Amino acid sequence: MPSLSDRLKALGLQIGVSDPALKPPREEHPIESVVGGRPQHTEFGEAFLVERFLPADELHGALPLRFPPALDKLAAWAADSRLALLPPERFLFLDTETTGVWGSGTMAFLVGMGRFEPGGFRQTQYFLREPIEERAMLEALNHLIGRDDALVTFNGKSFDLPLLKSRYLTNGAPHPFVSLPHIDLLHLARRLWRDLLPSRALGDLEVSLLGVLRTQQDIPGWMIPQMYIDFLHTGDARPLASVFYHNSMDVLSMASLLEHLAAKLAAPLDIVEHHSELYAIGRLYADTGFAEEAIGVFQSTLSMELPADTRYRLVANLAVLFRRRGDYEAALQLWEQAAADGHVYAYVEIAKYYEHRTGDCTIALQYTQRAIKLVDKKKTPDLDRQYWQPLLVHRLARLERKLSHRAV
Amino acid sequence: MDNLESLLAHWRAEPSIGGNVTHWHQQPARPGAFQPLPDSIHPAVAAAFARLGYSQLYSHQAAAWERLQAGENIAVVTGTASGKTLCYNLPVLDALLRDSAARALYLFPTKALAYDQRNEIESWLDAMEQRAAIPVSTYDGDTPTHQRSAIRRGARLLISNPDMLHHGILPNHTAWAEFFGRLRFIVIDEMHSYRGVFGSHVANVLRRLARILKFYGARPLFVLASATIANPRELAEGLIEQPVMVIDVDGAPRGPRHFLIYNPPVVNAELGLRASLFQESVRLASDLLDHNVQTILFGRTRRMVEVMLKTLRESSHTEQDEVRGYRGGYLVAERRAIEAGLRSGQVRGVVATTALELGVDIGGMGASVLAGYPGSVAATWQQAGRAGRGAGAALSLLVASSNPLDQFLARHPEYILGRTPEHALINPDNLIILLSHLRCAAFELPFSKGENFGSVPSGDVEEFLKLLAEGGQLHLSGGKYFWMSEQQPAQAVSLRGAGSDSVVIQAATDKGWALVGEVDPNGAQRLVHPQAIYIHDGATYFVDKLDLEESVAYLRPIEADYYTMPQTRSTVSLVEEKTREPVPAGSKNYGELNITEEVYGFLKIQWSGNEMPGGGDLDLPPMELNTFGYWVTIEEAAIERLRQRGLWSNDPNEYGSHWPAVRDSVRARDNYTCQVCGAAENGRPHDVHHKQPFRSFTSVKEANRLENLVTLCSNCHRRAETIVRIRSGLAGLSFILQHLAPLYLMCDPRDLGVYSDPKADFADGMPVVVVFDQMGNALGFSQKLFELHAELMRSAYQLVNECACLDGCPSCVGPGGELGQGSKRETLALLEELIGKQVDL
Repeated sequence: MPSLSDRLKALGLQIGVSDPALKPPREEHPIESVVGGRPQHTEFGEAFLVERFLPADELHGALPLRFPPALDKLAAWAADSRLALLPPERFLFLDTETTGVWGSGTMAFLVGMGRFEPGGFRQTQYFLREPIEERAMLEALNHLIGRDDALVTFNGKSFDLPLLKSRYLTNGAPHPFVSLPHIDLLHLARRLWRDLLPSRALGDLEVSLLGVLRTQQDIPGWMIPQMYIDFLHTGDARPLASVFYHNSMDVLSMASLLEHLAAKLAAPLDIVEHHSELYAIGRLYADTGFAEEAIGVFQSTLSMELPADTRYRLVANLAVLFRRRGDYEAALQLWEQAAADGHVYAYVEIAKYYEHRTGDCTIALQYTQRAIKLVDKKKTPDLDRQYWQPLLVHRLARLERKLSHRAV
Repeated sequence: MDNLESLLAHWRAEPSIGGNVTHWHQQPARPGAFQPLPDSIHPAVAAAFARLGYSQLYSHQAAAWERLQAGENIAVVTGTASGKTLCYNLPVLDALLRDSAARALYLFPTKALAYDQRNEIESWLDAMEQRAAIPVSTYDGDTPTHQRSAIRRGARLLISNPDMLHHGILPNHTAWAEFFGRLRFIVIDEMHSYRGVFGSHVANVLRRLARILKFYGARPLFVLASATIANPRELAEGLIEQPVMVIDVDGAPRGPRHFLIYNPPVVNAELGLRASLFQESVRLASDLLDHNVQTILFGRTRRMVEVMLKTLRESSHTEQDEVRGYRGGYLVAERRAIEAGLRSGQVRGVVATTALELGVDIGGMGASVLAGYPGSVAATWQQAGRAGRGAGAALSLLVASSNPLDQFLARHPEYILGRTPEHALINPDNLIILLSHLRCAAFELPFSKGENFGSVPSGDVEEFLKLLAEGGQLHLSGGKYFWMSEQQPAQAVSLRGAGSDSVVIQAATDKGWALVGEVDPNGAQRLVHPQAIYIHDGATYFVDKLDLEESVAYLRPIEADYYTMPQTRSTVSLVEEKTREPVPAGSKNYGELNITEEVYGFLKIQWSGNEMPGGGDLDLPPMELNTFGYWVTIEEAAIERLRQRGLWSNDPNEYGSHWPAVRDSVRARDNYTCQVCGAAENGRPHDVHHKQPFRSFTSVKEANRLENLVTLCSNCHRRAETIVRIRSGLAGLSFILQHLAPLYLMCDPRDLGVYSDPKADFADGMPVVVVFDQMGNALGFSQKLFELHAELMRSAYQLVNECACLDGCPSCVGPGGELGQGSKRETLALLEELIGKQVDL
């Protein structure tokens, strides 16, 4: 009976590198010799970790690493009040490097974490020297991640966390992430810089916001899975120094980014220069219940040079805030202005005000009629017309009915 | 007496019909076997049962309930429309109601069937007012991404297909942990479709599923349902690798059934030509429709369906939309409407291909007419089984074509009636299929040393794993094999072979381009080649252009009094011979082959069936299949021995040096007109045909006597040739290999191609029989046949030698033409050579 390999070969099937002569010789350069580090004993065998401590005065990019003084706005945005109360050393910055991008067979071979401590920032990177060490690493993480920690990640909600949870599941172990507060900086970055920055990738944010320049040692993220797979084949850990560097920089930048974002959210008017960023922060305030702060941000944004559509959206938002706090005079003023600029919604808002607030249906009727005239104009886009026309006709009919009742 | 019975009485008395019925089999009515709904069933299910109008269970439904309650897996194999769905819906609904965490998984081979079943189960949930408590979700390629995570969390009854399980669910099982952990039932409907390569893949997907279920600690019960096959238990147990109880005693009541075989009458006694298959089929179907019997008429090809549809509409007294076509290429919405119309009775007749064979619910028909033998006993019963509803009478009618196989069946109806249907075979341990799924399984969960994979023992599994580790895709670490490659193994494996883009068929209308249908790329060249007449639901279109790069065919409506028939030729050429070994009578060979099929021209055929001028040549790229094959080459010495015994009829006919003159004088004698259909020559000389086959004469002079010669147009000539076909030993050998090889390989006959050539270029002009892998890339079938050559030849010899038939039958070397000769003697002689049996001359 020919061997399985021969039978498969006879079928014209090649399995990876079939010729052993083509394989690079196995040259042992263990990870310890490349990045230092030490084994850690767990009840599931050895895990391997690398630790580093950055003193408080060390710079990351242009700024020293420090924990933000206030997180109340961020906590409100994340809808988790615990975040505003936790001490700095309970925030765990986390980033993984993996063997792929999707599926239950994808492993996290490097889990990088960071935490502020008195006097500085401590980084810990757990690494799988062999896949079999996964169970031990997960156990070590279970000790390192506390039940009252908060997580800070970049895209961790849809990537790192589900992946780690999946790893705990396949290892039949409980995971430490049960109901931890979680700030996913990617979501916040998208919210603030969607219109302003061409890319919200962490590496690009570093450059444009934090002034961080990575050294030649860095490698692009897409190369990382194959580098680990190669290491398992060759036993040569030297190229992995770049992966450790990449991961460490990602964690540090997350810490910087958190500080940067918290500072901007705490005092936007002092720091933020661009109107689109200010507008985004105003919206975030408005959505998370900081109405007064939102009004302040919107008002000062309004004094800036603005593109027409930003101004339009800003005015609409601001007027709503005025109306909500009962400041109809201020709201009316904005709507009048917007109406003069030809915005149909403003006529409607004014009509609503007179109909429901002051009960002055005649004025309401006038504004409604003017809005109808405006909508009928040729320059009004079809979609707007289709949206507004029935609403206006309905309003007009109601107002006429009310007025005729009163006349009787 | 109902319509059908009175029509049948009329047919029986009418010589032009009854006289052509070669077999009339009557199955008496069968009363139903009923049982009350078991008391143990959840009261809400029982209430819905009554609300939906049921009062009792058929015995097989009750048996299914009992077996499942006893914790046994079951396979339900009962007739069409016998309520198989209820066999699994009842226990599943019961379980989902009793345990609010329980989940169930339904697998269907196609999206269309999944759609039908979802409607069915939702009507139950509505009747139970449980729509909210038991969310039913379809999870397939069409499921929008944003709905998927909600389905993973919430679905309690998941409807999917094996492909999605393979590349969407299992590789991401951790996202389905809760679903798998609480899975109580797995329903595999249409089990018979999981055969051959596809079935072997599915069996491995189920091995992976079993591994994942074990991991999450779930032990669901399996319910399989199938159309009739010879080996339901073997297939079910092969697929799930667990014991399965087969439930095949059908308790559904059945009215009296008539099974008729109709052989079209001989219209030209001298040449033995019979009336046209499709005209006779349409005539009978039309009679049925006019007697108000809802009828399904099955054709073997898409073209035949459309041609019959057109004539049926013209000949029967029906409205345009009362008779519909149904075949591959019709759009999904159109099919749904036709199915609904058939169920409601609005559609009275349908002309269909096997596209309608599989599980599609159209209710029971009054009559099923099969225009030609569909190729297998199982398919015959599936199509015939479309007739029959409740206690009314039903008719199944097989109209024989002039093809030797059909003519054989017309003479030997017991061959269909007495024979078990075909086996559905799978081979989950095929090296290549198994290897691909071991990769997928290793991605899903690392393999531990000593772990088996389904019935594959751990030792064999480890041999594969070691190989994958050497190749760098797996990494052995601490006694476990981890998947270590960026590649997603499941994405690289397709369960159904290479899928390619279908060609869109669009027609110019007043309002721009309208989508008419779609067709697979290989079918495109045959159906919508330039200048073809494409027929869709009876309407005719002319093909202006076929753009194969963009996969679009451009058509315009046309009133044509003809249809077109493509002319194709296949060739096999050698890419590389890998191995050759001498065997008795020649050599056995294995290597890489290139199979090309070319649509090189087309004919124009009048609706009446006569060929007309105007056909032409086509310049289309050949369709190529690069694959591996096994072939037997016969050596000169063996041929010479057979020749001397008069058992080698593959030498070319030498009509003699006078032939051109003889031929011209016959044409002149016959006034240059076809002596059957009367067509005059039109640019191309008619053929001159030997009434008695040339080969059956010993002298050229005898064969070429003017009385034995007749002028025929090419169309009539083809028909005449079919009837007097003489099957050679080589053809007999290829016929038997076609049937025998799948049994050895445990694959479906469709997974193999067979080709024979008495003078093969790639074998230095020697005769060859080739068996090749149909699936494009090698699945190792031909390699295995090469290894099994001696055994294969011995079994072939034994089979032919022991067959009780006189001169060839569908079970051995295939029948000869109706007036021709079979090849039993020649094939036996050839096989004797091939097994090295000494024959004294």
